[in-house]
Amino acid sequence: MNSAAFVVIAIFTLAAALAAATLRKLMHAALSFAVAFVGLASFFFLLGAEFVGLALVFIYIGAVAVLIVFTILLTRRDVGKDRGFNWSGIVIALAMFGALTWSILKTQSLAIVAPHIRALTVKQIGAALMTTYVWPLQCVGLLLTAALIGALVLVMEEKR
Amino acid sequence: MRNSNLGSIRVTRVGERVLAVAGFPCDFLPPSTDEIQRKACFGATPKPAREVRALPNPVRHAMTPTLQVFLIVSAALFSIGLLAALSRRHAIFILIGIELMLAAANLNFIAFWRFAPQSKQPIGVMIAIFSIAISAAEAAVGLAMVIAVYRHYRTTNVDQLDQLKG
Amino acid sequence: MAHAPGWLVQIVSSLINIFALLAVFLTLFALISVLERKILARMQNRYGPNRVGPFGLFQPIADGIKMLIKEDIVPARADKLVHFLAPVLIAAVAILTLGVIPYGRNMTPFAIDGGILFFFAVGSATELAVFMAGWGSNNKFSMLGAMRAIAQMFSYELPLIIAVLPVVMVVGSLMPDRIVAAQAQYTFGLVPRWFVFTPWGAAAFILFFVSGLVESNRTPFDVPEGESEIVAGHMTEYSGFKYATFFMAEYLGMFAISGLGVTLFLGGWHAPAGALEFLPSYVWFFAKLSALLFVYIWVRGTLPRTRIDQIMNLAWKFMLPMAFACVIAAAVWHYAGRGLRGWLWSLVVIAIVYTLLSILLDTRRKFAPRVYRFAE
Repeated sequence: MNSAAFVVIAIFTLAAALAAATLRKLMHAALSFAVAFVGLASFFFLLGAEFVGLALVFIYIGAVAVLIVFTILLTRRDVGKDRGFNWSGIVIALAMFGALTWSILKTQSLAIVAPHIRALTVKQIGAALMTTYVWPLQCVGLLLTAALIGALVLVMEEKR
Repeated sequence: MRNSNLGSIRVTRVGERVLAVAGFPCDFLPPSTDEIQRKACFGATPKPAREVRALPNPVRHAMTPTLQVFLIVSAALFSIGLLAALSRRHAIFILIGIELMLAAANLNFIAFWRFAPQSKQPIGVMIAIFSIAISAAEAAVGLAMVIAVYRHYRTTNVDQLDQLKG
Repeated sequence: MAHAPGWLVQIVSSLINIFALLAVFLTLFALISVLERKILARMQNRYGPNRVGPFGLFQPIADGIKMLIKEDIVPARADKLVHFLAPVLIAAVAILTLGVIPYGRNMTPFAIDGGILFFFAVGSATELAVFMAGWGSNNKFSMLGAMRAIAQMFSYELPLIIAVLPVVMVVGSLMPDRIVAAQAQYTFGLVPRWFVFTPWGAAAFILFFVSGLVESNRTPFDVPEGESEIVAGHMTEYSGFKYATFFMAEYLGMFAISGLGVTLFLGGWHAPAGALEFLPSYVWFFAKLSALLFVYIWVRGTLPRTRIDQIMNLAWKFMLPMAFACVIAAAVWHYAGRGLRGWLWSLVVIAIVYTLLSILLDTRRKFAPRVYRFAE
């Protein structure tokens, strides 16, 4: 695992996420949200979980980001700007970050480097999904169907 | 096409369970050459003890990041998501913040999976996959609700959505 | 001879990969852009461009010079960053997807474990780029064209991916190299065992091909860029080199989908008969790719444009159930032994589903006989 790559990807992802959280124009924030997920997928590639990284790109950038920009299109009255920013949110976020970092740095057993593991193939993930995790798989399928139908029902206009 | 890192030897401490291969410098290769490398990994003997430096933080030739650094990055991503969810007044921004928080949690899971001794099933990866699916479903339903609320109240500012009566 | 350091070797080999890929496909793009005009022209009983160079084959050079020296007009109230990044993103995505296709024996630029998933994951970012183009132009036509394009593209992503599923299921791997290797044998030394010669493979190939037509916004599905309806859709406000980038990205996407179709269904770089294996593998790959591209151009010259609601109906009501039927047929083929019995049983499955769908979706009863108001 290369440290230079890690630093570059970390800065890229955090900058994009910060842009998504703080930009005034909605559309730019939504697009930097997609860019943040590119960075996150790179993290997953770095950590060796390539299937999860590709699934992330597929689902978030290919579907959720498009959904968000469509919703922004359908729900705008004034041109793209967001009114209102609650400054106390920054305090809470900083407090949370401080608390988490302090607890991470205090725990000595986390100061380990990556052991060398066998590469995780898609075949193993598929085998695991079909044998040990088959019930969660079916439940997630049911949940996705329910979410699909629910979202459609919520947005459908009533027939006059 | 991977970096041929020298890597570092994980120093075993008293009472820790360590995989036999965890201390062996075997490159993290793509599975097409898995068979060849696996034979090289498992067939060879681990390095003799006197070459292993018993320092608390051995000198890393390639400066690989530790688990703590990954967790700090994930904590930062989580705090940024929290910032978006708490300080923005537009409903879609809040949903973006929630998605960022879920993504930070996924990063946590995968980092712990990578740095932990390997188990039979890739549990961390499985949890991350299911978490991605569920958060996508939740984003879809949340955005549908935002559209439905907008049709009713003509606003997406959550400060103005403060009445239970329709 | 001194050894270069490891990282340098990797970087240089990756760069050689990338430059070779770009050189081959940009040349192919130039060639296909002029060949398409000539083939369409011949189908319409006229000559195509034949002035520049022998048989007009240097036309792309003239086109390129024209595009490069055109003035770059950006609308005054457009979102400059988004407007600029859209063609960049769409071209980058198209070139990235070209990287996982095996062009010959040991000639895959990036052989990763989840190659097919990489192809679809990166290809799905095209929708975001199209939306950026439409929204960044600050133009109602662009926005409308972008929304139509996105609706069309993600409706057909489902049949596209589910049509690929039977192949992945039968081979057991997402790596394109393994999928090509699984089509390597020849029955009786003569007939290749490509997946297109099985019933589920043929049906899946047709679904894949039609979905590929839609994903590349080609006629008969070019509603997003129909010139008579919506000017140029999401590409309206782009001029000069940015328009050339969109154009190039569309063609490169076409090459990528055709390349994937050749890999998955037509046996990749294998020769059609065992005796013809002496020709290099990339010759066979590009021959098959050219055949598929010719069919693309042929369809463009033959069929009229379909309406957007007809496109949606086709996707959700016909192609999606048919794609699921292909998955089931592939499973039946596998479990009935992969021989003649399996072939016949999977043919039965597909025939039953196709007949049922044709009966259910019968549109003849919905149209009343035409009544002319004035002509009689």
